[in-house]
Amino acid sequence: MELFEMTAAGLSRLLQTEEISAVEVVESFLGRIEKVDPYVKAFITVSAEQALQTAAAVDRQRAGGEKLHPLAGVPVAVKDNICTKGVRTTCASRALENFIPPYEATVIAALHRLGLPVLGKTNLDEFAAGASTETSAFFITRNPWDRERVPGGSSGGSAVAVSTGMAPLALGSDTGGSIRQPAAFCGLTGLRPTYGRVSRYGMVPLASSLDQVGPLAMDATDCALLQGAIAGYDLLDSTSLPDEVPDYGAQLEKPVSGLRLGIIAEQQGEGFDPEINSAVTRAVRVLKENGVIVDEISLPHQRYALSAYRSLVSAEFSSSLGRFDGVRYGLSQPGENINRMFSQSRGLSFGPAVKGRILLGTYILSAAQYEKYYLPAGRARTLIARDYSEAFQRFDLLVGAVTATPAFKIGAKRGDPHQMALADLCLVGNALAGVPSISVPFGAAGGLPVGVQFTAPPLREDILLRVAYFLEQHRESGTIRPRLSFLEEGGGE
Amino acid sequence: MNKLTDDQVGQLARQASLEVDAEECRQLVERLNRELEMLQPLTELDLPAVEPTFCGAAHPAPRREDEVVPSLSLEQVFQNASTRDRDYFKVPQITSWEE
Repeated sequence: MELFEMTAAGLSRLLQTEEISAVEVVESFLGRIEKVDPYVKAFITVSAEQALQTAAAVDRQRAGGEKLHPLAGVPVAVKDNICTKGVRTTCASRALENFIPPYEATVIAALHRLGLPVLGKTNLDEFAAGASTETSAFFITRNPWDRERVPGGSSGGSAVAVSTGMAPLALGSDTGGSIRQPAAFCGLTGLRPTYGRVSRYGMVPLASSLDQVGPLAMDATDCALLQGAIAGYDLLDSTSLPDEVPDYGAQLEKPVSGLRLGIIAEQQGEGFDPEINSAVTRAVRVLKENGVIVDEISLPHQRYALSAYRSLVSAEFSSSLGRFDGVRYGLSQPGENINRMFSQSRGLSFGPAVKGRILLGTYILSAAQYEKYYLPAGRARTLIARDYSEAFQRFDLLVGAVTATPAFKIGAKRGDPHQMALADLCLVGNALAGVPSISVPFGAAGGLPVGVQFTAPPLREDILLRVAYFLEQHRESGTIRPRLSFLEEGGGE
Repeated sequence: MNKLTDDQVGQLARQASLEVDAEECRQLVERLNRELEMLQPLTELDLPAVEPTFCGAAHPAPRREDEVVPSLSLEQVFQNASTRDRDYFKVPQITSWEE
């Protein structure tokens, strides 16, 4: 087996016993990127030199007998909306095409401190405002299971990097499904942590009241390892939670029996692909057969989730993108006066999807529309969060589909915000409530991977990872890697 | 639902300091009207007694003593600036602001 085919936990074992070096590991993944990325276009920037430097430092420390973190030397791909000091951070936008952050995001500082080399920055929808990775200003990322299809988004580049063995682990961000949906479309385990569990400092915001950084990995064990590495309190993020971070890995093998599982009526059934419904049913059956107590639950305000989400995200997005004026950083056009400079710079900076979001947010926040769209969205959010809170009085976790369909064709929903929003149907309610959710690969639909989604009370990522680990032991196929037949056929860009 | 017109979208673009040409504006009108259709369920809600939630954090931010830490150097601050004049960001003359 090649190093790039191994899981992060497998690499960690070999690194700790010094059977392999961190430099060998990084070189293996860089070689894989060179070979595979032209076909799927997951990376915007590959930071080979920095990754090799980190790996060499880890090897020196290990040779010197230093006690290192289990993931020291295991490389990571990072979504390109997370600031990396000295490495271009573009948000897949012309606005930041040449932006080199002078500071490090807290999660990146944690990776450096623990010795995880950063392989590069992965593609996304421009400013993460999308669900397919088609609206990147640079290129579309392709789903390795079928290159005519999207990988999901907005963390599509991160998902494809892990799925194809170009990185064993990746960081994504999830505002309303941007980790979980690409994880489902690419056959990965993707965790949206509790809001505030992972620092957002240095993550370029889409909607600050919803954004959360989280891991994408091949399995629950790897997901638990990376989540443990990035979680924790951060003085630089005022929404950061001060609670202690548990050892997620140590709890994976705890029994699932006795857990109370609620099947969300609104997140499967009519309108969902039959094979996705079947995956949810089979996952529930396996859990029930192993002592999980199952019942149904309705989240009655779920029907307002999409509209509340769209309203709040657009409002927050238009405000936070006000900072891009071309003065201190970012694309800049000289204008005859400062107002023209702002509007020309911003006009050239953003693509149509981002412009649409900015204008919708501007409209919603105007005095005449605030009470019509923004205020009710905040009220609906209260009710949605209350639904989850009441559900967790009865249940330890909830289950439903991640998406109504498997990965869709490139272009099928492009430019149609309504169709694209439907892809977020099961993903935004839990995000509005701030609770953690996980996408677990389980089954397939038409040869494409399918994810089942579990949601837990705040700070109970451990339950989600435990159930994900359990299902891995009980799914039909062991590994969920695409067969990259296109490598033999040629045709990479 | 009242649909947005080209003029209204043009006005929004000016408010948002976002230059859009006529063709772009036409496409944005279509896009925004589809988006507004999706928001209609919100207009059916009658919930004056429900306190809105706008902040994601369900806990108060912990208090701490102020602490002086090193800040960015001038070189770091200006490394991404389009134009610099000594230790200032250089922009077009502000007093010529119109509209």
